Amino acid sequence: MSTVEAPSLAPAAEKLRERLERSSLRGRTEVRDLDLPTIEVSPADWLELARYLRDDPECRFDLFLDLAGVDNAKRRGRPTRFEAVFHLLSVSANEHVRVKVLLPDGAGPSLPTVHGVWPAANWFEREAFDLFGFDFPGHPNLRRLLCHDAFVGHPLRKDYAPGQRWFFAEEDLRMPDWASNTDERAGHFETSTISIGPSHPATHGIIHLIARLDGEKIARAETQIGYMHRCFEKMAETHTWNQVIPFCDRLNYVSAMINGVGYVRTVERMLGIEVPDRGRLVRTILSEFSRIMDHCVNIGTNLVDIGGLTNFWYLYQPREGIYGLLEACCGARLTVSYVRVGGLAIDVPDDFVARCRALLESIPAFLNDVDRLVTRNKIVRNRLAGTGIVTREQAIAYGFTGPVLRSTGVPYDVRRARPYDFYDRFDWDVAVASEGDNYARYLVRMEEMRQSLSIIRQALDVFPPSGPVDSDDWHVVLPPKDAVYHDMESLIYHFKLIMEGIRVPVGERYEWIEGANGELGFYAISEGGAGPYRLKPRPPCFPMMAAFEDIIVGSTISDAVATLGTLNIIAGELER
Amino acid sequence: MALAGSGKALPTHDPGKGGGGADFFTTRLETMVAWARSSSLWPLPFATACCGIEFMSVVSSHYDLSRFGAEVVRFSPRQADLLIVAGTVVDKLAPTLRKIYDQMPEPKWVISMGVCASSGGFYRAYHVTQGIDEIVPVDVYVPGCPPTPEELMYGILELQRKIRSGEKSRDRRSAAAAVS
Amino acid sequence: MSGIIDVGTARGRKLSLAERLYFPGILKGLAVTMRHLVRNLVRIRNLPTILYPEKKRDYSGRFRGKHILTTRDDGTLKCVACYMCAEACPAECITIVAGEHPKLAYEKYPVLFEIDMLRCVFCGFCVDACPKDAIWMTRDYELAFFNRQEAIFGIDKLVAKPGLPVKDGLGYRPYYPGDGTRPPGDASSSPVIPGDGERANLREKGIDLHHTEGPGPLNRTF
Repeated sequence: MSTVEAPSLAPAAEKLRERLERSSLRGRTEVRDLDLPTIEVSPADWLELARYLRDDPECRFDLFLDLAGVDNAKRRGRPTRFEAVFHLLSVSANEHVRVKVLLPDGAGPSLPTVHGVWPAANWFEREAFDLFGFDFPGHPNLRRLLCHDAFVGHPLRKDYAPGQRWFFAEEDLRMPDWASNTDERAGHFETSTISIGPSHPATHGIIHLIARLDGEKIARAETQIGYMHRCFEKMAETHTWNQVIPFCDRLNYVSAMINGVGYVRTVERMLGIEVPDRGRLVRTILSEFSRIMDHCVNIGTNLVDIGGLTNFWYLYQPREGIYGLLEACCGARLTVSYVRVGGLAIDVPDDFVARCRALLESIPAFLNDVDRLVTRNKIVRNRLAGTGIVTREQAIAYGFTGPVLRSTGVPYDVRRARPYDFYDRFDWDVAVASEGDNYARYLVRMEEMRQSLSIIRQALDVFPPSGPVDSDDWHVVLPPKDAVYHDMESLIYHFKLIMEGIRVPVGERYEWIEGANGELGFYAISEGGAGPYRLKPRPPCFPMMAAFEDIIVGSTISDAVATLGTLNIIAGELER
Repeated sequence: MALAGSGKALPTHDPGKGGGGADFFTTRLETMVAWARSSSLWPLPFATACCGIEFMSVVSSHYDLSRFGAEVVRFSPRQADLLIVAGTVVDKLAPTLRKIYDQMPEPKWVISMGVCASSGGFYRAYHVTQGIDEIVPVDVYVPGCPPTPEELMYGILELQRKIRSGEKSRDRRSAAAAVS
Repeated sequence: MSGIIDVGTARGRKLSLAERLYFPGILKGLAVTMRHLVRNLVRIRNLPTILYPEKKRDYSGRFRGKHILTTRDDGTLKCVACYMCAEACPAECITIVAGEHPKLAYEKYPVLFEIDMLRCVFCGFCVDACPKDAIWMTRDYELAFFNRQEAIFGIDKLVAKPGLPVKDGLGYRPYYPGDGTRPPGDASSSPVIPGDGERANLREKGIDLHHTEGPGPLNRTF
């Protein structure tokens, strides 16, 4: 790959290219300037580039965000059939970069594993193997992750029919090899290997934890997931751009609005359209309410797992209040499907501001009650403080973002790092802690809820009482109904939008927002069709689940349960 | 309240039928047992996804399933008699669901909560079971995505009506015959 | 650093002596729960529990419940079988078979219009897509089926004849921002409101929530 005659690039990409030119990787990479600086490299040079990107003092891309496999079989202008698209983040420099490893056709798609560089890459590579068939020589555990063990084929390839299912019987489940080995310490009779889950209240019904126990302590653990793999990415490829929105709601279903906002922002950036301020403020307000809902569920269920049931009832009251607000806006409580590409589905009701203010009055009472019951309670301290400790370096190496990362002391919040939708106009604080244990995560989430209330209050103060919530570009947004009923031109726009879908220009984009769990990114590729060519959500809880089996080694089962609660694993997002 | 959408009434338990005095006590006993069973359902919330969150709302203060005697959620199938499958069931989880169902003692009932559990919902996909009636016999299907808590309660009330009318469970019919 | 709040130091990690003894902590917790208990007993009107099925929660006029097919004044369906709702539906749950209508002005009508209620995800895309104002959603959610065939609703179960009441009132409908009419959620249905006591408190703070009549008894919901 030569870099002769390269066009001039934006500063970030130019700087990257210069550094690569002066390094040992000269001439072996190509830097492009897409929405993010993008480096194209061949598999042979990938491992060296990975180490360079992580270790070079000017780059320091230490946080592994995402690996998206792409099958270019139906795409124009790409040199190879398969490519592996990596997204990396430099926490200190607050920069994102994309690396595309072009997998040569011929022998099966294969690239070296980078789990030695970023431990977070482990599960992402397993997922790429599962869904695309990429081979990672040297990977410690290259087995299927999301699809079941009797699955044949690689479902996200373009030649795989979306509805092709395979029968899975109980005996097809493959346990890890170490689980069936006899005990290492032959004389010790208390070692046993048990399966916790998948149908278990503490694992929220969909996580299968295989643990080798030494008495009550966990000596070794492995998590098996895939019990909720609902094929979001394949469904995104078979539906139109707007039809993907209901699917997005069901990703992180406890804060459904935020996923929709993240997705439509990606598409809107690709289209280059702007949503009016009022629409963006509504999105911000409802996203913050959704964040409060998410933290309520998380803290409530976590406390149930360690035995404090009362808080669950108390924290569900604010949720019901917010449900009432969401239902008044769009007609559904949980799976709202309220956003559309270009704005919102429908304008907010007249009493929107009044309802929000009423909620702002009532929610703090419940938070204060839970605070009184829990925060300075000795039993909660004993259970949560000092357990599930994650250090700052571990958190970054494992790809954590969100409240879990902030509880280790890293103040990375997308709303502060790359503000969107007016977050930079409001006066609010990022909550951090430094111990990185379960108790710190609890404190961070409680504080985040209060900060969200403050953001909502400020947003309501500037909320315009009237105005459009949708972009007025009728190539993207459905025209108003009265025009559709009476005016031929609007009817034609309407017809084309419903029948043909939105036409997003050819290109790709990675946009990220702060989900309730962390950096929620959407990597979308458009080939000009009615729907996405490829849509990969970057699930914030995926790297945390991957690290879980390493965090809990040495702790007791009860601590493992508490840790699983505070990591906030939402199955819809984890397994898409 | 009429059954939603169907014109066919379930065979109601008629205590008047039967022959003679000894039957009087037996049929009265059956009615009482059916009433007791319907008023003390112990649900096993097999909650996987979004419907699980709505189920949590049902047992919370605003809707409070304990008013129908179903407060005691038991996660062990040995102690539950109502299996509420709330959320999408994928092919990987299907054997687990069947195992849980088999471990439940008779009489047992199954509510399929939400469209994902009832039919696969809008996931016509390579890993999603297109309805749990491929695996277990279902007594009540509750539509919605997710159903509102009242919708689930309505489903439970319909099930209670069904139980009180004498039907114990559908396990005698095979799961294959239950697939429509 | 500005804009960052450290919850570790702000909260303090060390427990006081009283907190390290179990008993005062138990009393403090009991105080909170007892306060809730007493408050619920004394002000029963403000209990959050909605006593379904005797009382029902008042959903807004935008609720996405069971669909209805609207009719013109002469009783024919407004639907012209254009297939837009079937195209827009992400669950592909709408099946339409079109037929030619004898009246030229109407052109087409649906011979068969079925919605599989056990596939429908109640997203409202069909309502957004319809160019003829022909499909709306109501506030009816009381659907439960004993088998899957019952769940396929045809025209007979979906049609809403003019003049006949629709169960629980209308819900999610297209609205017309251009001609000054307002979405139904603001005009005709009652939104979710708190109970009387709460409302008085909020009015003192200057927060006035709408209060309109709607189907079903009003309820304390918050």
